[in-house]
Amino acid sequence: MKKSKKPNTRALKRRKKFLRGLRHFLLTPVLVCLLLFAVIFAISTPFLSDFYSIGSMFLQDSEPVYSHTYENIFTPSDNSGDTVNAEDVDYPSIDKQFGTLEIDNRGVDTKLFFGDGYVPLRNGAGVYAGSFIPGYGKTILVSGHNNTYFNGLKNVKKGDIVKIRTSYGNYKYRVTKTLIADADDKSTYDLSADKENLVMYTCYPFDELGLTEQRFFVYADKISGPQIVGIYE
Amino acid sequence: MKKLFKKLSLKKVLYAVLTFILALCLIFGSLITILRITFFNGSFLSDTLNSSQYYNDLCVEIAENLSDLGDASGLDKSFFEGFVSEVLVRDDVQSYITDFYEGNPLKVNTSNFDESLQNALKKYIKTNHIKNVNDESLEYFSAKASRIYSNSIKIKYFSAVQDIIVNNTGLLTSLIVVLALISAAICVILIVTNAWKHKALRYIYTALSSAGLFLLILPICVFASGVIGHIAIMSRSLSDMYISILSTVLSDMIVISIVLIVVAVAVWVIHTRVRKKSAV
Amino acid sequence: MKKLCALLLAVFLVIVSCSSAFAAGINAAEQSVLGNMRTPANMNGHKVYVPTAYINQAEAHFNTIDMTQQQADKINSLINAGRAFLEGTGKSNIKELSASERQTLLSYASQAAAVLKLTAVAGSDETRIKITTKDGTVIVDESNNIIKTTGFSPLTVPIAFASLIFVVLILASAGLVLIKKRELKNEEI
Repeated sequence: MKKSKKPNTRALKRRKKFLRGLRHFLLTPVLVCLLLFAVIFAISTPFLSDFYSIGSMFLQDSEPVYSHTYENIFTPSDNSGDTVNAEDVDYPSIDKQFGTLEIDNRGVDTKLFFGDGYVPLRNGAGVYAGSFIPGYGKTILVSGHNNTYFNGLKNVKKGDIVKIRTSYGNYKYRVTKTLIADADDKSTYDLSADKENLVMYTCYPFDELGLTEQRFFVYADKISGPQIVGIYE
Repeated sequence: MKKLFKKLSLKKVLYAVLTFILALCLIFGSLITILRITFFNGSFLSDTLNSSQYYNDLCVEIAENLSDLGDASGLDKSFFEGFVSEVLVRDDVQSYITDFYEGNPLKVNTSNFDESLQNALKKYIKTNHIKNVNDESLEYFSAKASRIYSNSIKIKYFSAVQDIIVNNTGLLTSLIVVLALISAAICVILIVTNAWKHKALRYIYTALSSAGLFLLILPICVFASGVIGHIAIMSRSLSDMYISILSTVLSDMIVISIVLIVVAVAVWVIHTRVRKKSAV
Repeated sequence: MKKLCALLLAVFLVIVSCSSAFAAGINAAEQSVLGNMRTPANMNGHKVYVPTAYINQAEAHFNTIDMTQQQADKINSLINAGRAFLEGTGKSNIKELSASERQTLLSYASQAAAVLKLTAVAGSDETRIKITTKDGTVIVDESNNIIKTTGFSPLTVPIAFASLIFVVLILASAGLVLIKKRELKNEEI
């Protein structure tokens, strides 16, 4: 005769009680928490979506770097030919040294940076980032401090040769004129020019102490160096 | 389905809504409390700056900016070496913070700095026998140096929020009191109107624990994402300051969440005891 | 098996086509964006242009990336929307915009920044603006004047037209404080 197995009702009741307790202790608060997130998110999205998208514009992928060291992407080249392909040019980003600038017998021999902020001007001469690099066929606007790297500009005369060396080519420019003008005189440069021209400037007078309103400009036209081709598809 | 609707009586729905509102009150009350003890509290900012590298970094930055100005003005790099006094910077920043929280115009008194600069310039000109000196150029230089110093002392973007903070500090305190009263009222309603007291305590536990979880998850997600350290700010001192403040705010959220969760657990323990008592 | 190989090949080709082997140069998509940036906004009869310096900086940055047509379409639509918005305000220049109007421009800028994965660096100096890529490479580091001076020359670089990629990012990065305190002069015509 088979004995019928009766369910252990006490154990079952205890288990049910435990599960109910677990539900109230853990599950319900978690569900309510999720509901709170959903409600607060739904209410705040119309107000915060703009804030969030604007805020995310100020976030980088990594921690910001405050070092004053700069990257040097310049390696001497022997290309003084007529052209260089755009795809062979490592276009510099701001604060990178990408070449050297030298004016023979005038005391100007300096590193050349892209950008003219604090890092470039502390370490050499800087190409204004709103202008272009040698070979691009447009205006190259270069600045330097008059008591350091561009002090030699005071000796520059018409006809002097300016040599710029980059990783993609070596360039020569002939000085056509010098000019003393106010710093806010916009006629001293043309950033939309379609012909390659080099404009170097520094503070003037050279040995005067203090902040001067005038600048000493040196203009030069290209005489040799590879033109960057294939820029525009 | 019918069983489910039978279980969901109007009373239960009302209690659920009250629990939800209680949780919301606890969350907003906690957040407003954190705001009140941090952004809306002058001594919090002073303490944060004192305990961080802010003044040291700020002095270095001011010296660098002045050195760049010196480069553009024909001065030796050595002119500004050791020129910026951390004591002076600290005093000026503290005055700025005091003016900020008192609603005074945010102007930096640069008279000490200007005097030091003029004395240093006179000494430099005499020592180096400099003849090519234009008073106007020197005046521009001095004014710019003064402006660099003044702009460095001012904590950026604070001026934009001064009115909000000064005019709403009292409002925040009132809001905290109101939310606390509402929370207390809801707890009383739950206890008084519920025949089963242990169920009332369970509702209160749910509100406390869910609010605690909410306030815990948010800062953990922010810390885990590492987004705080990725804010792009030009100045190291400013960046360190904002990171310290944000970290403190998020840590306060974690502390409050732990308090809420501990209180919730205590309420749960009381709930189980009351339940056992009523079962007997 | 054949289908799997074909699928794998297709996936591989997609991945390869996305990598920018030759980022140098200005492709057609980038040229369309530059051309759009050169188009002025007509603000209440005043033609307002993006400063040449900013367009040049955009071109410099485009020489280091390969913008897709999809990205260019998105950015052009944002520029067009921003221009239409500015023209619709009835104001003569950006200085006259209300706080909510600037907010709208900022939201356009942030969408453009998201497309090109750019970061606006909050300035410690009201007169300086910095924009980087998300990995920190600087693409714009602009101060008040093209000809560098630390004297009291007035602002010579006008923020005349909110180019959604650069000028509005400049507004965004400097915040409303910059707009309030800068003197806008010399609108380019």
